[in-house]
Amino acid sequence: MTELQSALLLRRQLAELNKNPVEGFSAGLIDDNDLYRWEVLIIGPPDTLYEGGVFKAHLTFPKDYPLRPPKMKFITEIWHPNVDKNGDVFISILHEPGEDKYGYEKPEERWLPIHTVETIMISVISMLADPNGDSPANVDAAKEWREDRNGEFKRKVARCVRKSQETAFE
Amino acid sequence: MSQWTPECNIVYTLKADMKSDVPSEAQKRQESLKGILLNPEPIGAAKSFPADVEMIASKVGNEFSHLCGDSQKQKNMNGDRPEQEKAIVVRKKRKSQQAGPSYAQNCGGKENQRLLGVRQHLETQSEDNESSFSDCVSSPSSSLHFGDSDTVTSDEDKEAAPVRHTQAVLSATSRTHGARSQKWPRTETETVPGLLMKRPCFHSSSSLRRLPYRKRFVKTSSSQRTQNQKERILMQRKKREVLARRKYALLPSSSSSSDNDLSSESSSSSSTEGEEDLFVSPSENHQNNTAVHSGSIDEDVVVIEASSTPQVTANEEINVTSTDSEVEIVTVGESFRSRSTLGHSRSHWGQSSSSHAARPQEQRNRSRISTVIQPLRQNAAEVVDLTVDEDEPTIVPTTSARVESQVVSSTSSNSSNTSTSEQASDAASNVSTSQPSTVPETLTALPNSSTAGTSAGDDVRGTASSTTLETGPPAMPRLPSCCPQHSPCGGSSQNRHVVGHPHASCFQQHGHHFQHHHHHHHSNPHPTVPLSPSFSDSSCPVERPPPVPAPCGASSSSGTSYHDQQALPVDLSSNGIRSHGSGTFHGASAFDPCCPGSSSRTAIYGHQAGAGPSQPIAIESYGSSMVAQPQPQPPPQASLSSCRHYMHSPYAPLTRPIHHQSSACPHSHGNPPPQPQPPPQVDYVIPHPVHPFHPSISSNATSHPVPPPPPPPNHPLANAAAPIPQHLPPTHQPISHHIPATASSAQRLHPHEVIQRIEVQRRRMMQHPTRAHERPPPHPHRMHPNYGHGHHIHVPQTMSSHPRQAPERSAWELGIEAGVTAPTYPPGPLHPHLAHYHAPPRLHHLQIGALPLMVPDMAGYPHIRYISSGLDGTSFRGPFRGNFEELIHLEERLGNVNRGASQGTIERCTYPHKYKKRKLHCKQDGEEGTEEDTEEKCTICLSILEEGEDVRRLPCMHLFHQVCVDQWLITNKKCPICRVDIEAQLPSES
Repeated sequence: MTELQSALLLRRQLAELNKNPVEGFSAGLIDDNDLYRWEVLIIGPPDTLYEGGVFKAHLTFPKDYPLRPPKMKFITEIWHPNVDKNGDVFISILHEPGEDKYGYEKPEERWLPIHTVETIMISVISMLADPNGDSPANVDAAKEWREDRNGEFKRKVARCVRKSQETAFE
Repeated sequence: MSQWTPECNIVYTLKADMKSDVPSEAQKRQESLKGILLNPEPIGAAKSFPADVEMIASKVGNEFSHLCGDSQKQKNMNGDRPEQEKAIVVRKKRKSQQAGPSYAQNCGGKENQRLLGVRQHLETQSEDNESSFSDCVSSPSSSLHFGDSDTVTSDEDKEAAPVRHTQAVLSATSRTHGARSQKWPRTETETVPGLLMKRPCFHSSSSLRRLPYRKRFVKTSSSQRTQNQKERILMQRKKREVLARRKYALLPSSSSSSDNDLSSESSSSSSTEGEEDLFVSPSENHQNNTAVHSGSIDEDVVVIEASSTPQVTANEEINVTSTDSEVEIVTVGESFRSRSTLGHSRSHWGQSSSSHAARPQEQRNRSRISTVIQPLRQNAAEVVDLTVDEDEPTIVPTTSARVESQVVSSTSSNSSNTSTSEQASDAASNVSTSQPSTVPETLTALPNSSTAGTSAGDDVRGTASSTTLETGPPAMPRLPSCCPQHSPCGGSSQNRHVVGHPHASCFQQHGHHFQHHHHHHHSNPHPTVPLSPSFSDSSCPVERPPPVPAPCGASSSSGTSYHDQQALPVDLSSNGIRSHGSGTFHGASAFDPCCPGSSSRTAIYGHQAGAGPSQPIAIESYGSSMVAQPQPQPPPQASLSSCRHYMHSPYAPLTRPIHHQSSACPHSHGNPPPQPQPPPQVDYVIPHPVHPFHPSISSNATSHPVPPPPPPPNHPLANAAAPIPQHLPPTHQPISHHIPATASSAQRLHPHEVIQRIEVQRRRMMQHPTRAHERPPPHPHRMHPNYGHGHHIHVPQTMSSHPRQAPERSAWELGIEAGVTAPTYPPGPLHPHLAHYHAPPRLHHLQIGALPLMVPDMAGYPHIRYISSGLDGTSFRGPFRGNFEELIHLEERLGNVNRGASQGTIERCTYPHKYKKRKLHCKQDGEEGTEEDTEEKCTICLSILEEGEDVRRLPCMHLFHQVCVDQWLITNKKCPICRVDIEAQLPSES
């Protein structure tokens, strides 16, 4: 039941996104036969260090979605305080409800079953524009972001943006 | 009940001790043992367990420290104990290995030696059965720790419980210290040899049967055990029996085997500790071994020795929590655990202990177990107190269930006999502490001591633990009847000692079932058993067989049934606890001091004692039977629980942790009832054992089928025996009962244990209340008649009586718990504590990856739980425990249970209805703001709400499909849209 429900929900979302694309990202299935694995392309938000970048990420949904959140992983290298060096995205809404492992997040910011790919992508785009330095997944990036936002941090982000542009169209 | 409880407590404590000891020392010992045994793997597991144990130990340690203080005051041991406790604590803090060192340091040579001995046993066991041992060890230790920690932490009663534990540990350590600062080295070496010896013995006698089971259960355990080992085991058992007879001569007798030293040590320690603890284990083991021989072979000797300090110590120590702090649960092997869980445990313990001491190599599992046991035993003497917990008397019950279960098949009877004899001997000899405590310890000590004799200290301890386990066996004895049934089951499952193990498992299951049933049915079984019931079951050579059945009940529960039914596990655990408690108590009590602990058992023991002459065996058988019977009652549960705990503990590391909790509850429940209902227990064991329960419990059903066949044989004996358990026992003992029981128990334990544990927990949750009520009646009968008679066992009876007296406890299956909790700590406080404790244990269980494999561990966990509960005393009431456990489990499983809402809450706080577009629109303008034309969507599934669909409106007025939102609310009681707590508004309103 759950699996069917999740598959139904994901299919519904996919259809909706294809029908009514949302600005800032595009989404599709990695494998057309697997509704639980999505690939999204995120356009670097304007007026941010990430502007111009095209970042590819994968969303992996659990079978019991929407009761539990999907996992998001950037395939494209990205330098961001809330994205660890493996590309895994750490934002509160993607954290399962329950104890806050890190003590920073409020329960109110946790995953809700009403989240969809669209809302997740909006949150990620918001994350790119406004990193959360309180719960860094990439400590080095967070440190640079706090201490040298327009120096080292900016250079590394710019390098990632260039790479993303190069790889995005390969 | 009280008796049971004390025993159980003791057992628990023992377990805790065992765990703590084992972990720390075990590693080292294990290594050494590995070299010796050639089984390195186990060690690793053991090590891993130690860590868990440490956790527990740390917790326990704290508690113990408190307790220790008391215990120290009370006894010379106290002084040592504190150190031990500290050491334990240190160990706990440090991981198992670290802890070991710390212990060694703290304890110095003495404690370390003992611990080492235990560890060695454990190691050996672990080595032999890596998984099994590790499970066993870990489970026991972990379980103990858990229990201890739980109890300690949860209850401030800690003092009592901790004290017990600490006492047990301390006693063990202190014993070692006092008796043998050097012993560590000695013990280690000795223990190892002893283990080897024991194993061989087991192999020779019961090892074959058990081995299979164990092997099955334990995967790695006891493959090595061979017929030779069995023979050795048998020899050991015989020796043990003799020792047991001498028992009370304690050390000497125990020393009979290479283990003598250990046993002596243990005995000495126990004696020194004197507090409560009598380590009967050696004698029991011996008895078991002898009687059980084949069956007893049990590699997994779970010696649950409750030191019985029945009255005195129990009072004192027990007082603390329930004072039974010292329930020593020696997890033999996983198989043992399973076995042990029921009455088998005792037999197993005894066997294991004996085997361990005598023949670690052959029965590495056992040896391991024995090692564990030894610690337990040491603790056991103290542990015995578990039964005492409820009341001092209970002390003895400890092993009955286990023994029965394991012994049951071969061992069970043996165990019972052995346990009895052992107990007696233990009480006399070894036990040192046990004697004081009399029953439990003596029981455990005796067997072990007798067999292990040389390794006595350890062995004794082991025996004690085994005895405790045996208590399970006692249940087993019942199982015998059941066992047959179980044996089938068990046999199917573990089949080592085909019957025995199955029985053990059966016992556990039965035990649980019984317990439950007992509670419910109580007397049903009793009918046959009133007096003899237990006897007939456990003791009756047949008895033993019968006992075995009973054990089987327990074991069965632990075994297949339990496994099958998670609920069973719970029951089992409870049964196990009961059985354990009873077993240990019974066995111990029966013989020595046990008296109080296992009233029924005591009676049995008494019978045995009376029968004594031929009795050694008979006694053993009685012991087992006694145990079993007693176990059925409180003891059974206790024993079972202990067994389970032990078993679980091993598993626990793996999975047990969770279970233990439940088991603990059962104990408390079981114990109380048992005491009051010794007969019932017997009944449980035999008649009920499985059947009644089985119905309830799938495991039971499974076990039943098989058990029936065995039971008949056993039953006849058992039945006849029931009245004349003592007489029969001798003859019966020889009979396969023990073996079957053991085998069955052992076998069953694995699968069953796990399932059973789970089920038991569940059942406990469900049944405890009722069970307790029902059970009490049976136990009293069984316990009293059987145990009370011969040995000081009467004390156990007293114990049981105490439990009985303590209504709550009696209600609680485990007299131990009741005894412990009731006196000192009110239920209320305990419960909370319990919950806490449980959680950790559970967690531990979960954490332990091996647990799954280690079904016994599961059982062990329950035990732990029981223990903890026992420690907590009142808090440990079955219901609470069960609830806690369940909650914990849920939490663990769900992760965020707390945030979720129950279906009831959901229904109460929300408005479910059939969706009606227009009406909704009209009524719910606010919701979506959608007007008539607008469509409402379920924001979870993103589908439009259709007319007539089941929808649910939350207090915040958000509307969802019931199917969609309910899933979410169960895990998080906040509106998916606005995050408003569905109870936030209603609660205020309501």
